Amino acid sequence: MFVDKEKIKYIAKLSKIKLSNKELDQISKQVEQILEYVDQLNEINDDIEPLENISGNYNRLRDDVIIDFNNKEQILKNAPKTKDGFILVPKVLDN
Amino acid sequence: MINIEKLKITNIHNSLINKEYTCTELIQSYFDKIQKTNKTYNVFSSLCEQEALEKAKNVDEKIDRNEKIDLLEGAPFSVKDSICTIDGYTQAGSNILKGFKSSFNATVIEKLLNKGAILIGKTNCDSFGHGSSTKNCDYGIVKNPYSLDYVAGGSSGGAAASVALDMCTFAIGEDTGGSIRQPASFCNVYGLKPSYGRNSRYGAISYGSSLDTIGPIANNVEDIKIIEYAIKGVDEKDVTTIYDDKNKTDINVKTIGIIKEFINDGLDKNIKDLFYNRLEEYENKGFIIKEISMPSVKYAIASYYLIACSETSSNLSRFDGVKYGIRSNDTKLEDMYRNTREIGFSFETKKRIILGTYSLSAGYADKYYKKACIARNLIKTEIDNIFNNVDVILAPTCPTLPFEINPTVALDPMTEYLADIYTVMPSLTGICSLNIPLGFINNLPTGMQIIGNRLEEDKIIEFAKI
Amino acid sequence: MNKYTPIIGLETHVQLDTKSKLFCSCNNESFDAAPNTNICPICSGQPGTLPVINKTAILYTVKAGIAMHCDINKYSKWDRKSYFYPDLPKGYQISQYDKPLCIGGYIDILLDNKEEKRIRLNRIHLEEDAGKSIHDRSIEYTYLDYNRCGTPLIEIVSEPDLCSASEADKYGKEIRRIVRYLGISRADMEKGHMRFDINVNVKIETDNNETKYTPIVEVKNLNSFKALIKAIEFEINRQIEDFEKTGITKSEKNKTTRLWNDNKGITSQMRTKEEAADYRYFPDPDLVPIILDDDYINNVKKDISELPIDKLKKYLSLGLENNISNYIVDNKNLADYLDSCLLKIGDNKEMQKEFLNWFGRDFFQLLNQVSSNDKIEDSSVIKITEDDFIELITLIVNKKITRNLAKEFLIDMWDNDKKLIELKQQIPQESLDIDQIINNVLENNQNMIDQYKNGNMKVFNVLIGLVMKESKGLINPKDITNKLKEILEK
Ligand SMILES: [Mg+2]
Ligand SMILES: [Zn+2]
Repeated sequence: MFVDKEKIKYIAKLSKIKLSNKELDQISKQVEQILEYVDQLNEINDDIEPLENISGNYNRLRDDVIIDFNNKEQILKNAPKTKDGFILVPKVLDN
Repeated sequence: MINIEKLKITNIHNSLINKEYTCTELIQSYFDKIQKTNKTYNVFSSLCEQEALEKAKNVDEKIDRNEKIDLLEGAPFSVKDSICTIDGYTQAGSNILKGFKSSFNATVIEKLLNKGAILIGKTNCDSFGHGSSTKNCDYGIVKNPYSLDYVAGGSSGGAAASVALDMCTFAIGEDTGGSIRQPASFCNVYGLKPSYGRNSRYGAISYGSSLDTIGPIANNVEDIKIIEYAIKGVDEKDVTTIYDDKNKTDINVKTIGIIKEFINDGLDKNIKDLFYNRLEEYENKGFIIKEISMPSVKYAIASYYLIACSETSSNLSRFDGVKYGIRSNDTKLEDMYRNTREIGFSFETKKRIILGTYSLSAGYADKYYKKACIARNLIKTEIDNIFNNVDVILAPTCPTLPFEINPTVALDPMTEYLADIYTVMPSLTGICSLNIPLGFINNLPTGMQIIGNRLEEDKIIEFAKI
Repeated sequence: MNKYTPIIGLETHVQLDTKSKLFCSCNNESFDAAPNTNICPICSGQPGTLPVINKTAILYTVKAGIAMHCDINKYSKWDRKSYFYPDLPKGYQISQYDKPLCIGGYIDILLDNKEEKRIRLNRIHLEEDAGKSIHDRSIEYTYLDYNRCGTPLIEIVSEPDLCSASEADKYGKEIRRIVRYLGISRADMEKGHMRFDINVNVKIETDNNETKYTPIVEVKNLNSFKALIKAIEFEINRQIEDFEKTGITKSEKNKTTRLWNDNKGITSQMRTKEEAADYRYFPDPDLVPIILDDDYINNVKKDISELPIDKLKKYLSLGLENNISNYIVDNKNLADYLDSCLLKIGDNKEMQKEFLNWFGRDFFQLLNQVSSNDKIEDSSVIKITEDDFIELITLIVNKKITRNLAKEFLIDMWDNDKKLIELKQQIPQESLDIDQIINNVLENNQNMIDQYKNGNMKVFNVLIGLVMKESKGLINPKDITNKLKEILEK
């Protein structure tokens, strides 16, 4: 047994997904199956550097100039709830 | 009526300038075709008919004024739903982006539009590219153009089908682990996964950022070349785009490599036969076929899924009901987050987010995410060595024929992942690969990959013409 | 009696004063902007967007690193820090985790007893700011403004070397001075350009030689020096009281985050149960590493002038008062002015002394009229050019002008934008030649010379009066006395 349901529950919470019980069962099972499969990676030698920069690029920087975006209206139009130019969400507690 | 069957870009161009038909007639013909077939095949998620016809009118006026038009001018194309366009909707095949309209065009789209190509609509795909059948598309499954009981493949299933069904001249798809090549093979068309960074990703809704590539799908390799040349290049908006290596001008192919590990029991016997027949043809034409070994390829699926899911778990955090897309009507923020993402994401997307979050979570990142990156390096090193000995690699695109939409025995999810084995290797290593049709088995198409080293698109495209 | 020693570490976020934001080309200045008007697809986290790093932000961070004596990492990279919050549009913050631009380093502060204390730094990294959440506009909703999203911040992480609120205050102000000196941030507290997170606990040495520690508490988002001081003081007291009541000491698991309530002046436990932070850091695949070479670093180094603390020590040694010295150091424009004047004056001790007297007294009085708050916005506030000021001092030292008139000139220059070249007209040129004036007076009053020589000392004062009258009061009476005596007693 690689994963227990409690762990998946915690991960779901961390990912902000409310899984139904059925989904939790299915996902736990399938994730376990995948993790069992990927366990073969443990046989690889740890001395090898992880490949993290596939493009091989570095220092791609931008000049510090202001360019105004010309379609801000669409950005606000897409928001589910707005008022006075603000985007609104259910109240954040703890503030 | 214009016969739009298998029209090539150059055909269209010549017909337009020779005034054999107008651009408006051309575009209208494609929309007539869409009108007739889209209901059956569920290829498009949204259309831009009005905008397209307007643009067609502009092209016609230009031609009337005897102005020069670009080769791509007036050529109708479709775009995968996970790539941002101002016209039409951009929903990434996901319920969470229902009704979303992008405020900008992806760089590659902007390039095509600037050349006068005409966007006609957005094509269905597995939500956020999560899948290889479009079964995970919240806007319905795309049916295989050759048999309605089978899938068109995925995730760019709609894109491949739109070309196969002559609903457009060419399509722009997105490939993370095979999402252009596999549906292209299932739909009997050409599909190019470019080298990582050759085409800008700006405007492609990220699935796995270090793997995502945008590429063309077309009916013929000449069109693939035209489109790829139109969209490639360094983009200042995408720092992972790479400069073309000027030294790589040698496009001659002498030696063909076959990866030994790919030819195993998992490969459909009939596909294997077609593949070997094709190899024989190449051999007869004087190419040297070399069997090569790539031991690390056995880690490819594990490495790919861990990296892609880790990245996707992070890339999809922005879909939280706050700024766009759907929002549950909860009054508590935490509930809003969790319910929006619960109802907005497909099961497969949720599974991949959970797997990816797991792989990055405290105490597990070294065991999973980092290990996957180490495996990736191993695979990359091996492929670099292989290309010292061969010019191109040939491989089947998918070990099986197109899947049934309603199989009698449900496919095991792990088995589905394993079917990506031939396509994820080029994705992990950032090299290029082109699907070309290989033939039919029981009336279902299958394809083959011509895999080239990084930035050797010209080489594999020229080879495909042989 | 137990002995209590507070242990305090600071994470200081400083907003960089670049023109555009960190990852997009939106205007970085949003102070007066209407909500969500300084946004674009990138900083508002729209699907399909990618970040591109601002060159100037890298330069500014390296500047900070060099000024704070850090090692500059030749290879640094970008990581995603994941958490959900409505004002964080991407669901992750792009930051630097294991390869920040700057590591190590220190900041020296001057304590009240004039002793210097070195506060070690752990690192400085570059990251993006989040948007603003407004909670008090409605009971149902939080209002979001993304204008601030993507603003570049450097996070300066100290080691827990601070032992009191006062030290933390001095340390924070030293950072403010440094970044203003470097010109990399306006460090305006009111505009939220500087924010502090504090980590506080207390070391307890008991009578029977035991050493214990209270649990570490993090207090986030203190955005004024007042809040910084008060929160630290509150936490120290609260932790000591808590320890005396419960005896609970620090463990692996009992680090907590508390919220600072500015109105009540207290910290409080968060209402929602805090999940163990799991930020799932991993390298941002949308960005590529930064590689800096020696040339780049050396060029930045060349660009960095004297640091504020060194200036402070210099001014004190020149004899300027403590509060004036600090004020000058706090205001780079003023310090630049002063340094430039001192440079022009050179080694002339007499000039230097005269200048510093005028600078520290009369000049400051004028300055106080226009700038009652703690800083001078721009150098245009200083109404007297360096050259005019120095020339005026030269006139004084060379006794070409009396101090009284010099003061009038100074005021006139300041208040009425007069230039010295105009004002000098008012100096009666010919009569200013003291010898000439005295000779004239004596020539016309031969009788008084005779009386004086005959022992009538009273006429001496009459002569002084005459010379003064002739010179329109522009010559120092003492000088006249000396000169007159010299001539008469020849
Ligand atoms: Mg920070
Ligand atoms: Zn922006």
